[in-house]
Amino acid sequence: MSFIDIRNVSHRFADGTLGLDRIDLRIEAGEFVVVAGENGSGKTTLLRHLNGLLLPTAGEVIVDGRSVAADPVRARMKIGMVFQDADSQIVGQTVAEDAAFGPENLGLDRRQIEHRVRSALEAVGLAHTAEQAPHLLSGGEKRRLAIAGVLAMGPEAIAFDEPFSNLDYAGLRQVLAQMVALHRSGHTLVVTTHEVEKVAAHADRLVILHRGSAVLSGPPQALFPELERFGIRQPTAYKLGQEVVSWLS
Amino acid sequence: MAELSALGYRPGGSLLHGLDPRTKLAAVAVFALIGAVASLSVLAVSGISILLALWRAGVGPRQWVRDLRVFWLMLLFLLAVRALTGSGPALVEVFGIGVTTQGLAEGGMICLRLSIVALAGIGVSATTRPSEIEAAVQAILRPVPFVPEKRAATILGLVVRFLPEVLREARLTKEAQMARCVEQRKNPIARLFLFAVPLLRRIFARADRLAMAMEARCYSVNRTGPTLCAGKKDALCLVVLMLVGLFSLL
Repeated sequence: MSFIDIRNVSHRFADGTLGLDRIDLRIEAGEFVVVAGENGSGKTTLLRHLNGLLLPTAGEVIVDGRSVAADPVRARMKIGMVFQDADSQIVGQTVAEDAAFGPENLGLDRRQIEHRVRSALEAVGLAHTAEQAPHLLSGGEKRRLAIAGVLAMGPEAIAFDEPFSNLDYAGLRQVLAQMVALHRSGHTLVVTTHEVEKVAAHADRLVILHRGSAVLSGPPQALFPELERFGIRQPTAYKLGQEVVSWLS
Repeated sequence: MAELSALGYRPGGSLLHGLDPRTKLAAVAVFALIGAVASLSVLAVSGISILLALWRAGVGPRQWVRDLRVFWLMLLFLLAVRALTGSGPALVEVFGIGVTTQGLAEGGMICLRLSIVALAGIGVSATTRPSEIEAAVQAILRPVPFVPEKRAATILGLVVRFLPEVLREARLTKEAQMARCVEQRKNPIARLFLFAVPLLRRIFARADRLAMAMEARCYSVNRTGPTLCAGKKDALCLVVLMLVGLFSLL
């Protein structure tokens, strides 16, 4: 059984707009999946179904063998989510306090919380900023703090919503390096983006969303020729007939 | 880079930072009492003590003057009203209305009393993490019957957490409007409307995003709170506060 099993999921918003249209998608444990699509294609809506922030109007999402709708808290412990706007995700007044927010919600004892916070901040290279105010961090650091906040909850998978938006090149590389490290340590990654070029070299699979439907799924290299048909920019290297390489190299 | 606000928590190792949040809340209550009843000399000593403590905590006059400027303007307005409407012989005349010494003195006292309470509040918000304030309120409300202390503390914690965000959004909205010459519009009601509508829209959208991010991290009322630990410093501080409170009542 797949780790994430999205079965014929549709989502219609209160105003009648169809956000997702009969999506069938299976994501295996340890897989690095990039979900690409133009603005309004349903990427964020799909991501929010993975941990029950939105529930499908038809179909079902199964995470590690159990329906998300039946137990959303379990799904949120299994799949951490890093939002597009890191500022909105930060709730603590210091870096350490923010990383502790999730474990505190899980009701862990203080010693366990401190251990998890320390490990998570070390994992993202922010241990030295533990007592700093989060809003004084740079864009890349804020995004890494959001990752630490999720890591402290011990998830098996992490969903990233447009992780490169509003980041400069240095910040982008920091976040990308973190994602690659997480994947190497065995985490399942689901990344939504319209900038395929930045992450394609590391992905196992590319899924293209268009008007709420998953229209294509396969190895990134195989789908590059199709991208512009769905309003997604092809990697420059591919356009020039070169190999698409990592932004970390 | 964002700027630190006097209203938001700033990490540090000052005396105020080291005090138990319950002690700090008790201190605010005592200063509120002092503000209501104390003489000028007690008010002056209290004010200077608070300013010194704030300065040691890294909150200088520039921050609290800037972040509370609306409050200071309100106090100025109050002072002007009292000065112009007070009884007694006129000191000077402004447009035919007398500014009285008694009115000025009364207005000054009211402003001083309110300033002390506001500055004491800043002392708490700048040196106490919202989660600690939440835990302190919960601890204080626990013995009160029929009060859901966890829920009350959670609401307060969220308000404290969200207040700097509201101020930030207000600043951004104002800057965006100034960049488009909003000051050319002379009608203050139209300007207020133009400011309030987008600001409220932004605040609600931000609150929505914050709520969703908190939900994604399993937010619940029954969460592990910070460990509160009152020590010798707290005991000493409470004794001093009690003495000052009693002295001001005499």
